[in-house]
Amino acid sequence: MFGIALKSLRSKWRDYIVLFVGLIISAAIFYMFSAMATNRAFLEANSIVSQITIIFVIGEVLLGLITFVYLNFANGFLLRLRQSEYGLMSMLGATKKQIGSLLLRETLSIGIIATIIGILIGFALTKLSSHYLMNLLGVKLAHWQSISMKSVIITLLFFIVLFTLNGLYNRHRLRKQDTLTLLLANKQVNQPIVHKVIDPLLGLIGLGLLVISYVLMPNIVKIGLSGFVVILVLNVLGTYWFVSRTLKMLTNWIRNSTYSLHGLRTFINGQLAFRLPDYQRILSSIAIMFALALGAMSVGQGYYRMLPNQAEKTYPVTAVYATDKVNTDNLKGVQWQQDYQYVVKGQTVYFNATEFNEHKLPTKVSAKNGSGTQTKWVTGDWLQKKAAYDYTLDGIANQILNQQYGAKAVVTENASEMMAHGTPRTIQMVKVADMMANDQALSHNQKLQEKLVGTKSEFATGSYATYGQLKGIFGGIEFMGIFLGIGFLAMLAATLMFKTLSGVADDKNRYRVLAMIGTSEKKITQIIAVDLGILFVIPMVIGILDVIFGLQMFAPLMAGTNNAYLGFGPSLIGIVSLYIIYYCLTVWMYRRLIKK
Amino acid sequence: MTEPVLNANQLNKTYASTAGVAHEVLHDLSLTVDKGEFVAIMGPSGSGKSTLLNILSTLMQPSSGSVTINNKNILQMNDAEIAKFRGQDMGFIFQDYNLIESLTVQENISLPLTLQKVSPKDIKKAVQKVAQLLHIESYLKQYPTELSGGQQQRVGAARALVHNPTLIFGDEPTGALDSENAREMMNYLNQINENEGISIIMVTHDAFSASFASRILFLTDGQITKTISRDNRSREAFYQQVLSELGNFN
Repeated sequence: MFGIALKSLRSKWRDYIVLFVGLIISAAIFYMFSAMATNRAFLEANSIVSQITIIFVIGEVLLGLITFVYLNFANGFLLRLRQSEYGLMSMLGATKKQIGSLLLRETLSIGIIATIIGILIGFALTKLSSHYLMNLLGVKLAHWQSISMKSVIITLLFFIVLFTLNGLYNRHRLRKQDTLTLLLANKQVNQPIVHKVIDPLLGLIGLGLLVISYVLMPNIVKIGLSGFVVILVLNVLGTYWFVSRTLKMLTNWIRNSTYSLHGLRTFINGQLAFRLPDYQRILSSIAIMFALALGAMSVGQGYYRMLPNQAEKTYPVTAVYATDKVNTDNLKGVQWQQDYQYVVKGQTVYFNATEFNEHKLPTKVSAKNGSGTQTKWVTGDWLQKKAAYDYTLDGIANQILNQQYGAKAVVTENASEMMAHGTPRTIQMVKVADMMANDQALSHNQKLQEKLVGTKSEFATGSYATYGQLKGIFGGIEFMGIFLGIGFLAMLAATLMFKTLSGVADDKNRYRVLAMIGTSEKKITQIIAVDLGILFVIPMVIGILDVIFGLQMFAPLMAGTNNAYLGFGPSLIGIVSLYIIYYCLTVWMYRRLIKK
Repeated sequence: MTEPVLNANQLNKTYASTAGVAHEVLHDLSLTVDKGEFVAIMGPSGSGKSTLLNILSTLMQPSSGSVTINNKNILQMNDAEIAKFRGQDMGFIFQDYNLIESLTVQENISLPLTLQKVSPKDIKKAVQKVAQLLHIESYLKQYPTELSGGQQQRVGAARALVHNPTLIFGDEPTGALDSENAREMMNYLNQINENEGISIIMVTHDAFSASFASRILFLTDGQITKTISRDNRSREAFYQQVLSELGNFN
């Protein structure tokens, strides 16, 4: 029996490779996610949002569900691949019990091997992507671990349990079938049956649930965390019913209209209708994965984009250097630059009012309309009256003394009064038009300043220093968002690819018949492009809608701006571009497999 | 004077085996099929029947030689021309029916016409016509997997016929059918050939099916070794001759 099993493996190696790669990727992604979700120290150290661990637990549950659907499907595929072989064994005298245990053993060994390879690839993926991302974002995150025993165990256990359950289920299904059904398994087809009342009803209920979930999303803060779970359930169920029933009715309607009697519409519509029972669950999970990828990426990118803005709101200048030895010629687009003199005595830093009268100092004051801040250019006279309240000057005093707080800035009448307290030194203040364009130069200058006068970056003032401090606080969320976005996208890619490529064997014959009755190679490529295009577009549209509404949930996390859509545009472009590249790749691979 | 619909000249086909030894399947084979003729090709397994049919029907390229159908050299056509040619001039009937199981019977039959951009009204008319001819009107809305083998083969024949081809290729069209269904299928093919004037080239193992043809070619080792014609004899008499030929042949 083992001989037959091995032979069949060889004859269908291409199908097995697709199955195997799909399983490996899903295990790798699951591990990647666990490595982050189970690292409590990392999550707590790198996030200012207290619920972050719970969000991750929910995320893990969601990923678990998606993986479950995926594995269930993969095992169904495995059973289908093997069924006729089992029929043959049964005909040759193997008992149902023998075949059942063979199936269980096969399922488990494929599962365990794939999971172990997946975890190993997960190590590499986690290590590479986190390393790359941290470099790209310029953040250093505490407690980050690429190799986590805890996640290895969780991933292994989760997959083994799922594979065992699936194996038992497959064995049960197998035992119920007679030899002939098994032998002819490859020739059996399930046609979609349209129910005149239930289908439109479930479609409408699905749409209703989807709309309710969208309405609830912006109000997440009021509903609380349990609302998150409710929204999730409503959204998932809504998507599933709406997508599956609408498509079923649509294909049925097209089938009965003259619209289909043109070119290859009949064929494409038939393909879609025929695949639906098999695809509806996968399409719904892909829609959700697309939404998760885009959503996570948008939140991460949102932070990435928000931080420079936030930083620029806190300080009127880009950088302050407590020495004139730092050469600022490397900065581009300098809008304003000024040197001032100061004298240090104890915890007090003395400035000269005459200088400020000649060259006004920019400072931040509360905006007139009461929200946010605005830049005010002040004179020495103004500072002398208000000195105690000006935090720009106090901040600079602390920077000069290289400490967080405690320094006091005093503006004296003139130069001689200031110099009565000691020898004057120079500070430089500079404002550039585009801070991020000067990122490298500013970072270089700060390091130079630290070398020359010992100013630590956490005590430095100016919007660039603030940006660095904010990044330390928010960098974790930014990193998690982008990391998860990539993870979900990879999982989605694996699922879709597996699903489409696993159907090649069945589709091959249909395309061969099409060619025989007069379809050119070019036309066949076009049909494949449309056929797969439909499968790609549906989850994308729903996923984007989910994110448009879903981002509202993250508005409270976007400190200061409350604008959850900051990162949406660029993330959308990024993810949709990757998705399109991925689509073209799938069409190309599919085309090649069909031709073989 | 009859006019040839198909002309094959000096066909050779050689396969390279995995051991690197060339294996010749067709050797200098020439044949002509006239308009309205019904030709059967018989021969033992490995004699090159299927290879010959695949080459004649544009599904395979010969190693050398030429094939013209309706005065067009099919070996010099590009992909788009071949597709158009198959869609307009040829029909195929296979042993395993090759219906598209994701489409209903009606959709399967109309496919060659929708590909040719025929108007929906004309498509419906043409489908009705072949459905009546082959007695499959009552299951137009059903899926192929819901039909018996004989019914599926009639659907296959309807699809091969619906676009009024000049030539139908049959690859063991009765191979998967029981004797009753096989007889019925051959009667249909006979009708199509006689009433519609469509030429048929059919590969078969079965002497009974072959006896419906007007001419039978026997293939051995890639060459036509014998040709017999029915002429004005009855099918039954021709059948007896085929049987005795096969007896000698083997």
